Order: sequence, then C-alpha cells, then structure tokens
Amino acid sequence: MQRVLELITQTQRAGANRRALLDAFVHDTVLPLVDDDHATFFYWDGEPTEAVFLQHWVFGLPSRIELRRIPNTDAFWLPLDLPKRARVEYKFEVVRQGKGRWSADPRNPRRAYDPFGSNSVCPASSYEDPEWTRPDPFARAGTLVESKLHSAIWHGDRTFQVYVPYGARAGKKYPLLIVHDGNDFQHFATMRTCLDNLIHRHEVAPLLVCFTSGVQRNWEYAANPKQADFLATELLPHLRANFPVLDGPEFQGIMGASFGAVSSLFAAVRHPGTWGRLILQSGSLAFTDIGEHERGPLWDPIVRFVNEFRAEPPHLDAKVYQSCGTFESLIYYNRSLFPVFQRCAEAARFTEAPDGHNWINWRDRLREALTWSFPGPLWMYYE
Amino acid sequence: MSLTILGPERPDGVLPEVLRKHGVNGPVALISAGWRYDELRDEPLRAALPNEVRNLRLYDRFRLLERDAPELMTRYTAKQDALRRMKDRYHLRVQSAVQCASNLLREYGTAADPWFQQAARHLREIDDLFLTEARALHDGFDREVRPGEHPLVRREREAVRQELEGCDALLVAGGHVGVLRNRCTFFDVGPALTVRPLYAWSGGAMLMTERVLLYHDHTAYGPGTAEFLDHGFGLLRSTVLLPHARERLDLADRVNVAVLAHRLQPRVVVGLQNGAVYENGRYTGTAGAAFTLSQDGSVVDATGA
Repeated sequence: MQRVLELITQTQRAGANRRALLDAFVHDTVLPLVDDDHATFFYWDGEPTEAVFLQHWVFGLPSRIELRRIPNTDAFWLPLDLPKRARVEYKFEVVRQGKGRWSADPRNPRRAYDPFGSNSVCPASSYEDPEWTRPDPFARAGTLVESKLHSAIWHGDRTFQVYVPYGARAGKKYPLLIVHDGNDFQHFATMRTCLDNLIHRHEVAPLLVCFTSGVQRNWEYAANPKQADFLATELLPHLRANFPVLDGPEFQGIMGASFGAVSSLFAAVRHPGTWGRLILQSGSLAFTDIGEHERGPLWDPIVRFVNEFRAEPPHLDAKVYQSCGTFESLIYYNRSLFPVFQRCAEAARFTEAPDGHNWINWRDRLREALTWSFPGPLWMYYE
Repeated sequence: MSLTILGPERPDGVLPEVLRKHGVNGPVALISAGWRYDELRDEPLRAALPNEVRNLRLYDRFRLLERDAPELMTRYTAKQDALRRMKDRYHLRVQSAVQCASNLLREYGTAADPWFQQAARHLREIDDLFLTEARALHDGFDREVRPGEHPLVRREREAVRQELEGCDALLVAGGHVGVLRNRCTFFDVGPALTVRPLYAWSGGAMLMTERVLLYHDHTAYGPGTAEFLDHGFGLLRSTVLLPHARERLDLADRVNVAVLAHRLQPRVVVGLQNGAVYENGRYTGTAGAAFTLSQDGSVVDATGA
C-alpha cells in the first residue's frame, strides 16, 4: 500500500504529469499489490471513468466495494485486509456513462477459470500453487477411457471417462472414486495431473476415477433420488463389470463440490453400505433451524434432506472428508455439519481454507482429500 | 561377507563408481522387486554399469506363483492379512506411546527424567512385542505351510540360485521396502546375501539391518508415527538406517530426533543421503551424506568429511 500512497502524493504535487506517473506505475507494478496481510487493488486504463467497484465472492465482506478515486485522476485504489495464505477471485465493475461493465483486472495476468469464464486472482503473500498440482515430468500419466451406458433411470445414454492409473495391470483390482462434475474437475481443477502426481509420489493409492457429469446438473444433483439410484444401481454395476474395481465399500468412493457434494452425501444416505469414502467439498448443505430458506426453489429438496439428516443422522458406514472455504457463505452450514459427521460416520475430517467457492480451492484440497480417503504406500517407499 | 551400503541412488547415485573402485567387472545380479510392476525397467541401471546385469525377477516370479499356485497364495495372503491386523494394533499402541514420550520431553525438557526414561522403555517394549509377534507369525507359516517344498516355489528358488551362479556381486535396489522384504524372504535369498559382495541401497540397505523402520514427517496431515515394518536380514547389526532422512524427517525438531534416538537405542540411528557409502565399518561421502541422530536431539555428521 505504501507505493500507492507515494503515488498519490506524487500525483497531487503542483505541475505533476499525472498521466505519465500513472502509466509508469502500472507498467512497473504487479497488481494487486500484496503485502504481509493485505492487498491493494488498483485500476487505471487511461480512460475517463466514473467509478470502479471490486466484485468478489468473499462471504463476510460487501460483495461490491467501491474503489477510492485518486483526486484529479481516473485512477482508483482499494486497500483490503487479506489473511495470509488466502486466495481471492475477483472482477472489476467499471462504470462509464452511467453503465457498469464487468471485466478482469487488466493489470493482473493471474486468472482462474470456471464454466462461466474467468476471474482475476489475488493470492495473499503466503499463498502458493501447490507443486503437486503442476505437471511433473517424472510422473507417469494414467490413461483416460471413454465409456458410456444406457440409463433406464435417465432414459438415455450417459457418457463418462474413467481414469486408469499408470501401471495398472491385468488381474489386479483397484479402488474406485466417482467424481461429480467430472468434466469440470478435469478442466478447472486439473484433477488428472493431481492424480498422476499423487499416485507417482505414492501419496495416493493407484485408483480408478470415474469422471461423470450431469445433463441437467443442478436438478440432478440437488438431493435427487434418481441420481443416487443411477450411481448405485446403474453406474457402479457398469463400472464393476467393465473395470477392475476392488470389492467392498471401503474401496468405493464418491465425491463432489457444491451441489456435487450434496449429491454424494445423498447417495451415501440413500444407499447405505455402498459408498465407504465420501469427499464433500464446499457442500451446498443448506439447512434451516427455523423459518424458510431464501435460496430459491432449486434448494428446496436440499434443505429438506439436510434438515432431516441433522434431525436424525443415519449411521454412515464411511470415512468422510469435508472441506469448505472460509470466504464462502456455505462455511456456516459446513461447520455445523462436521460434528454431525463426527458422530455418525466411521471417521470424519474437515479442512477450512481461506479461499472461496471455486475450482482452485477444490483443486488445492485434493491432496488432503485423496490421501485421507485412499492413502498410498508413501511410508513404504525408499528409493 | 562383503557388505556395502549406499544411500539413495535416485536421482543421482554412486553405485557405478563404487563397483569400479571395488574391481567388480563381471556379471552382477540385481534384485529390484521393490520397484514392483516396474521391476524390469532397469535400463538406466544397465546403461550406467559396464557389467552384465541379471535381474532376478522376484516380483515377476511371485506374480506367476499367484497365478499358478493359488492354494499356496491363499494361505500366504491369509498370513499377510493377519500381519496387517497385528500392525493395526501395534499402530494404536505405538502412536500414543510416541505422543506420550514426546510430550514428556517437550514439557519437561530433560531426557534424564525418570518418567521420560520409562516412556522410552515402554516404546521399546511395544516395538519388541510387535517384532516378536511378527516373527512368530512368519515362523508359524513356514512351519505349517512349508512353502519351500511346493514344487513351483522350489523351481523358482532353484532358478534364482542358478541366475546367481557366476555373478561377481549382488545388488539390492530400494523401492517399496515391504514388497522387497516379502519377495526376498519368500524366495529365500537370505543365504545368497553372504556368498558374494553385496551392494544395497536405500530400501535395500534398510533390509540388511536387523529391523526395518518406516517413517515420514511430511505427509498431507503432518508428522506420522514411525513404526517398524518387520525384521531385516541382520547383516548390518546394531544400526537403524534412515534413507532420505533429511527429506522425510523433521530433523530441526530436537524432541523428534531425541525421542527416535532414545526409542531405538542401543542401536545407532543413521540417516543416509545421496552419495553416502558404508563399507569396512565406516561411512564416507560428502559432509552430511551420512549422519547419526543423537539422544540429545542433535544430528551429527558421520562421514568425517
């Protein structure tokens, strides 16, 4: 922030060439500026601008924060506290001629992608991309097998991909993990790279991973019995018949993020004894203690399910890994549910991370989630 | 018996240089069962050595027996399952005992404290109990099942013996130390280890000690509790070897180091890094390539470099 304050001082001096100062500043500066525990956002593109707002998805802060204008300029700035190791995704809303337009930060090359486009990323001073998320030339890649089945439940074909770990050999069986939003986990959370690396390092057991994606995703994943039945009575038997899947629920996992986490938990409750490993990331596990929820009709079945689950938690014959970002509105629900999982599941683990409801947060938790659910022989390897 | 112990050979190793220095020019036998399904991917080693390399294919031979001797393998698997169940109990006991010893030393700061001394003794008792029980399980299997009398096992053991004939040295690579140990004991390579010069590195080196300790402080969930895998072949006595100790252990935590050293006494605890060589009773290599873990929590260079 100190550099911005110095810039402001310089621009306010009599006779200062403000444009030249601002041009030089944005040319020489990686934005946002990140100090020990706060970030300074900055906007200047040389065009006349009425206002700039920071749009972000940090629960607890106003979602739209106006940047301060540097007097006598069209440059704007905003200091914001940012916990160490945090990571914030954001956009700017730039107002010109009375109209606001959202855009990525033009001075920040760091981007995160999701099915809706991209956001700019502001990592706090201590945040680093985990090295196991990056391609490792020594890690040998698993193969991806395209597959499909005809679903009587969905009245049509369903396609999916199955990750087969490197070195898988005939006659040997492997644990299975089914992933909701499988396409997105591959594209936006680089899950195949993470699997290659973590298996190569022996941190995660070699396993089969079925990447499945919904067609009417939100409806299918919102505690929908059809989806739970599809997973247990159609997809799982198909996978067992066509891939070398180990016997026993402890070798059958299911995971998802957001609504995918809801669907995973719902599947485990509806088909007890089938899924012995649950990975629930930023679960949209909304509930009401009193009154109505205000999240719209799509959430009705979820709230009903979670209310019932909390009222009378069924025995879950499963290890549950749960994570949620502290910048998510869902953190309250997830924190509230963890003690319930501790009581009703075989074992439960919960990680909070200073991040939001996004794919990089879910990617960054994969190591903990997978090593907890399917630990590899790391302890055994001395090469 | 000529035993040479090496530190980790990946990514860089000293084996070719050591063999050259020792004048080992003829064929060498290789055990790389610890590489599991990559057992036969030994081209880099062949490329680095001028010697003819004969891979004993213990992992591969075992797979054939899994296919061709199902009854024997069923009984073997049952024994391994029993061992796993025993390890579950061992794990429960040792986890709390290590925690207790660490807490005592961290809180009260002196290893001379009788309560800490008792906690360390208790840890050793738990380790001893596990190793005694594990040995009894293995002995019981050998006595009752007599795998060595199975014709296919006899055939494979004989084939291994013939492969070894004419070899100037035996090399034992690291990898999955559990698989390596199991395959070596199943094919009874113990007697062959003392017949010709033996070179063992990393996990292979661990196997040449009396007891094989597993350890890792840097998992996704933080430090784990070190525990014994099983007995080794006991060719290097009174020593516990810790390859890649700098990467795998929190050596800056003096309590961590001290508890391990007290727990493993009277054995010497030696960390091995790339380039470490043990021969003729002494460690050599660059400074710090081999080091001991002391009961006062310090780490002391063992190379004298």
